[in-house]
Amino acid sequence: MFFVERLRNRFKKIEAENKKIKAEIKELNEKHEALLGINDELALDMMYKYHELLPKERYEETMERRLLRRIGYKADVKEPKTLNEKIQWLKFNDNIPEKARLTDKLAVREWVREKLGDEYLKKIYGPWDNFDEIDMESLPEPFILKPNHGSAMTMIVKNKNEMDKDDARQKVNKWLTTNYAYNSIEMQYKYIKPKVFAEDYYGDKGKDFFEYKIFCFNGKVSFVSTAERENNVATSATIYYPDWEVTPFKTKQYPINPGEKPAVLPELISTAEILCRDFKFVRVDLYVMKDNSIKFGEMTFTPTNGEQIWDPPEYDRKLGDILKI
Amino acid sequence: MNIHFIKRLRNRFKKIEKQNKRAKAEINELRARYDDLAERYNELRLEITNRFYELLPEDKYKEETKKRFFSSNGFALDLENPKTLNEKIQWLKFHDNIPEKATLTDKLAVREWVRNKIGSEYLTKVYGDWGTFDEIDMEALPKKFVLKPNHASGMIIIVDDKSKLNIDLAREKVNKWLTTNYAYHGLEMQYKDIVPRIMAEEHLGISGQDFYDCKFWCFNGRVEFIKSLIMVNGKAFEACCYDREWRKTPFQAEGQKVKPDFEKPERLEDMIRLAEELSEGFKLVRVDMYQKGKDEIKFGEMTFTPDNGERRWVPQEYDRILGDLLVLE
Repeated sequence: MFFVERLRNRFKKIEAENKKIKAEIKELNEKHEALLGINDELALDMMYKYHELLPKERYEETMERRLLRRIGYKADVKEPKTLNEKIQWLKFNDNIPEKARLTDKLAVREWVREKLGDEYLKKIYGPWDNFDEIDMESLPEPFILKPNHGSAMTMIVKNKNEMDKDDARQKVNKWLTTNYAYNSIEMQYKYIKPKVFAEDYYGDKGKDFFEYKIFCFNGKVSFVSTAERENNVATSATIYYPDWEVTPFKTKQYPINPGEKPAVLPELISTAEILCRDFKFVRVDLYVMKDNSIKFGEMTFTPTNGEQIWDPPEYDRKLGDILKI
Repeated sequence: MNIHFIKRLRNRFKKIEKQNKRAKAEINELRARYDDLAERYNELRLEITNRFYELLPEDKYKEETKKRFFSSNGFALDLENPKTLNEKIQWLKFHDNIPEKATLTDKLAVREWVRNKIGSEYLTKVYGDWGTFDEIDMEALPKKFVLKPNHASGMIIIVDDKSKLNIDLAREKVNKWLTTNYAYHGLEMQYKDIVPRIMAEEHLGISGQDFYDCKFWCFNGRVEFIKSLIMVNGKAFEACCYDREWRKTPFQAEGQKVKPDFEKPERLEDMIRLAEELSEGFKLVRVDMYQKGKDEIKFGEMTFTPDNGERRWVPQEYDRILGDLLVLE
């Protein structure tokens, strides 16, 4: 009986140890995640600083270096041939003030109103110059906060009362003191006066409403890209010609998963062609809402910063050949 | 009752064992991820320094070199009146950076020079050199080879089996090398104007087993001491300094594990002779040579700022003793 008792104690000890190890592993995993986040943040901060200090005459060379690192070929921005090279060329040789105005998510609204009409604009709240100016009372619930001068910065607030104000303030004010132009040398962002504004939250992109990224070459729609999402993270991206035939090329990042043709496809195409008319190259993002109404998203003159890995890779050149600059 | 009880115990034991196994696997995976993280962190630090130096005006180089020197060597650098070996290495950077050093630092260009000086039999096989990773003619390469750029130090991919090479990782690494100006690693300006190429070189086998890696420190054309080492993944794993008669020297380099019993290479005398031929005319150069098997000698590289003059000597007074051996004017 003593023997059994001893064994039982030993098991208990091992079990406790196992539990401890498990907890430790969990903690280490969390720490690891946090460190990865810090690493990425530092890397980004460094690139901002570097681009800010970089003399203008070295922008082209720097973009060529980025293209070799990201895509893997020696780019020639001065004699551009591929689509990525041509996007770079346009950055430095066709950066008209109009592009800066239309890149500003607030200023562009006036222009869209003139071109298309009010019904194509989402309702907005604000804008404000900093977090503490935001009139929380006036906001619906849920809402989404974003700045006018950058990409990939948004905050969804489902419940105003449960919102961590300090965290939100820090985040928003960091947006507002960031010159997005120096994220990756996209100078059309440089002179936009940073503001923050709010929109109604329409639910999940790709489920409650749909986004179409419409690539326009020389005033005509060339192809349309749309992504499937899970938990707001893209899981596939399929590219279609304007007649909804799947293109023989895709982005390297995502698999394709062809879906149904949107009911309002002709309207999407004609809307994009009204907006892209005066530009050699622009990506017009449009939304199709639940009621099939079309809303304007944004005009992007340097999509993916001209660093897209096309698959198969020769399409970088083939697409470049279509774009006349 | 007893049998049931024991059965239950046994099952419980099995369960615990399983948990234990899983935890161990998870810990191993975590370790690998942490190593990866440490590498990323290290890369980021290097990248930050690199970008900073790239934008640093040239007239600030001396000031920055002094800062670096103090933090690595622990005492103030006197560039006007250098006394220790590491100080003299810094002095040479600013007062003796002749264009020939840039040519001989270029791992491709140096081959022509070595061929003319001592003969092509001392050159390793180079299968080709290319401007970007995707230009590499993989088909034409043998199963084993090493990839390294011509314009930098400490960058290497050792390919033991071509078919197992992770192409995407290798491409990223190589193209990052090719877009890095190694001069801005630690302000060693002889690297600045080398046009970056990626080269595929013969695989010499396992360091310390199939070949000996010897670094000949040549002061005013004479081999003063030899550092023998074992490299693992492009980093010194174990090292030891010897004199010309292969006696262990009373000083060693800091930060490298000392392995006192490297065998004397059969062709030491010949290697010393060749190193001295190559070092002729230079105040200070480290000539790296390999002895492949028992009798083949291969040239490695010429390094004019060994360890960037930032590796301490132990005991530290030897920094001065070695410095006295190096005559600058």
